[in-house]
Amino acid sequence: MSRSALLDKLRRLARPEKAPGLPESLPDFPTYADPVAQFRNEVERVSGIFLDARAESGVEKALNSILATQGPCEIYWESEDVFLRHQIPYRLRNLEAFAQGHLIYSSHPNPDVKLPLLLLSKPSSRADLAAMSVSATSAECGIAETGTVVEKAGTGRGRAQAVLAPAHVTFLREQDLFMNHADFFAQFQPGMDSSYAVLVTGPSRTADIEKTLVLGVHGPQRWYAVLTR
Amino acid sequence: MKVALFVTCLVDQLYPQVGLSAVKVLRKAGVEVNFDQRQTCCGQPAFNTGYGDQAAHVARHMMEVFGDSDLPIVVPSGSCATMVKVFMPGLFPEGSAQWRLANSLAARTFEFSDFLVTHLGVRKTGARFPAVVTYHDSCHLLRELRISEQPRALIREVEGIEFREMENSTRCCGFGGTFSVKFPEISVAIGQDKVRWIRESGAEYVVGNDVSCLMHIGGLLRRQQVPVQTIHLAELLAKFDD
Amino acid sequence: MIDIRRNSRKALADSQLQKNLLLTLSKTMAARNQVVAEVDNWEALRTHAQTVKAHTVANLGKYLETLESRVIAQGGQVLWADDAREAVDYLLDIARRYSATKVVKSKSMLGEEIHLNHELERANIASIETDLGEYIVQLADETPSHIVMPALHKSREQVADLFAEKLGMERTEDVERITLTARQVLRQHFLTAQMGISGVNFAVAETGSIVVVENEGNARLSVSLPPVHVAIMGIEKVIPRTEDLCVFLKLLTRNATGQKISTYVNFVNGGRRDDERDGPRDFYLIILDNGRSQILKDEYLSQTLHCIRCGACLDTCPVYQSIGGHAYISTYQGPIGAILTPQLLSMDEAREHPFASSLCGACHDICPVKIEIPHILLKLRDQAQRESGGKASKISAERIILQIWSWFMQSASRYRQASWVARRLQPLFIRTGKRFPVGPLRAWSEKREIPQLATKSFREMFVAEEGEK
Repeated sequence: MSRSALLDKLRRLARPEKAPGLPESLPDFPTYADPVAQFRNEVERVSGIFLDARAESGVEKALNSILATQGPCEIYWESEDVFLRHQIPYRLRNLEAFAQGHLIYSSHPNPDVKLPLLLLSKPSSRADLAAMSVSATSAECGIAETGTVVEKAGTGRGRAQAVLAPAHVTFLREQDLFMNHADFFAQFQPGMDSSYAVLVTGPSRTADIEKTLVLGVHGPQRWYAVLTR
Repeated sequence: MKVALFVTCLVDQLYPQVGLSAVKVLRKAGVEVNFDQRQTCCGQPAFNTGYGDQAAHVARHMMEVFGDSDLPIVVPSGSCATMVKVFMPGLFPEGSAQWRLANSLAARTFEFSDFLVTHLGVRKTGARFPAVVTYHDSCHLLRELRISEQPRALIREVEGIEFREMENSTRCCGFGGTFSVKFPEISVAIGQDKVRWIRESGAEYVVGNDVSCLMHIGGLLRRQQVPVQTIHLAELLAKFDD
Repeated sequence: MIDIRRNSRKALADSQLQKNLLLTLSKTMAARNQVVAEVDNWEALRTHAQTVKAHTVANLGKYLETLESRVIAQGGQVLWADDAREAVDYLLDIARRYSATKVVKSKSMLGEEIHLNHELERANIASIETDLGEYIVQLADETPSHIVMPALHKSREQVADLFAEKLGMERTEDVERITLTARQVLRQHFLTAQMGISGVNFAVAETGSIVVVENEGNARLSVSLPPVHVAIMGIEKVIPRTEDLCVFLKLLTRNATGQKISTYVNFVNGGRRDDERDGPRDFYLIILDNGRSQILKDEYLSQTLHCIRCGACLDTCPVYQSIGGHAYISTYQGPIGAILTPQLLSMDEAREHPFASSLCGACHDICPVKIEIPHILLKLRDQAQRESGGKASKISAERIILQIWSWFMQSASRYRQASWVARRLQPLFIRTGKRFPVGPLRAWSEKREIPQLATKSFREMFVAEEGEK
């Protein structure tokens, strides 16, 4: 059996005494006097759109700004998590919709959002998922150093919804912003309570043709990072 | 102070003026130069081509010649200095007498520009050369021996000289030892890039520390009749009246 | 034996390729250099990464076992493959179980190594490359020419022709329109494929996480939409801890593409959990040897397995810059290819690889884990000559020539005599501007003037001068 043969071979070839031990500390990673400014600069550097929603009515203003850019559309909300974490009040007729795994969305013919957000629901289907134009989710946390957000699958959340639509909105709380990658990875425990996590930095991109940058290959072409209190 | 000169087989046979210049410059700096006529080669051509056993034979001869005294060994070549300092000990079984001898030789071998600047503290030789020159960083000199400032410091002190850095001075010239004849088309293509940057620098001379590189670059320049000459650093620094 | 020299002549004569190489590699290196210059402790990062890799490779079995147990604890399955054949058989078996007729694949050099697409196609399973560069290469029925930028050898005109021909789209050189078409076509495949295959950049032992680094989102979709996800990795991809990822990712992306971080860094820990909305039901990890354990036998050469596939050594290599990737034929090209290929295949097949280098050392300087590529090349050259009894070279008399040369060099008097003879014979053979008819001198003199032996050698002149004193 290949497993035992290979492991036997590797055991015989092991040289633990001859190799260095694992380093006990990490090289320095940068820190910032103003992590939010760093986060914002980096988001914009990778052609993301940063929206500061920390002030009064910040979320409404941010949503309207997004709608002004996107035009009339439906926003598909990944899970209840977004509303709970970022304290966005909502109204939803079918309260079981979240638990039932339905698609939750809000409809916006005009950029005139007023909270509480009116949510609608429908059973999930591949066709609807494929047709989404704007998706929204909450980040677990963010990393100021590179303008990165961390999105995770979990209860009521999956992997695909945050990457299918051509425009995606990630909500991030200021208190969940890590300074740098060293700080983030020191506490990151992938797999602990979720089968999938992804570090997202900017919209999808490629430079495979003559090193010419094109946004929006397979993932979102437009990416909004909304910072809440 | 006395040193032993390892002139290298290429300088000895093809570019003797480089060796004579090196001696002249060292003497001007107050150094007595010993030249042991028994010397031949460091063995690099064999080593580079994968014949470690043949390289070891040649290296053993060199160690016999230079192992007699413990004078510092000065070499007007980055690649030969690298052969002695970096690769020669590895030709022999670790811990053997030969290995130990090779290590002791390695410890007291110095490339020419490094010897002048780092060990003698000499930057000015009194040379005068009113011309526009550029400098090519030979790969072994740069990446194995980490020598790049010393040659520049010496060039800058030459009276009347105008020194211009070429684009990509640190990129290989394409010689690579037997690579130059095993993969001649690639060797030449890489060399052509170097020739282009030399021309674009506007220099009349390209200075280098390795005649192997200069031989390859010069070969291309001359075949294409480009009006740029190659000159070894030692020759440049020796341009003073006795 | 792969004839790199012959292939290189073709590559050098291909003016479109030369243009593409220059354009892409100079941009890549400029971006890389700028973003690395911004890091003030780059050397410390390299040392850290090298240490982690050296430690891991010396304890490989232990960490692979830890990885396996974590993956299994999360409901995934781990399959161990000795060679390419076994890995392919596992994949075909899984495909059969899921009645898969279509597979979506994100970029995997290991997949290239085991000729995965070809094997799946043979079993009537469509294997769709989803990374744009790989997709282009697949449409063109070619192989990738660079570890990180597979379609580097193609100009936009060539891609425009390709898309028009193979996808029936109206020909356009507008890179955005081409990309949009690829998005639309591949999106359909993502939504209908029965199996997703990904490579692995890092497999974290302590958490059982598969890390896949990308920019396009195709890996995200490959591991999210199909009902089963299979990840394939070489044994050397495991790392012990999550915390070291900050260092590896920083080194990898900056070196590979000149970005601070790639757009998506995916962490897969098995198939979906019961409370998750979507994701593959099942997850398989195939751990492949395919010759890597052999490399472990040599303590010095083991560092070959430290490679994190950033591709920077290719970008900075004057040889790669001149001839591109296809000239090497092998899956892995450039400096890492030159040391890996003879060790993974056989020295017999890849005899030229260690020699196709000027040993400049730029690769070593740029390597994020400090692999001593030029010194390894020298060791492999020695190995090549030993194993072939001196026949590794195309020059059949090479061993004899060097033996004779060495004999002359071991004695000052023989050396002097040879020099005297050579100088007498020289005027017969060497003329300015002329090509020498045979041997290495012919190779030299095609484009270069042959240097002349001096009338008097240094030692003759030195001794004469000293004599006068």
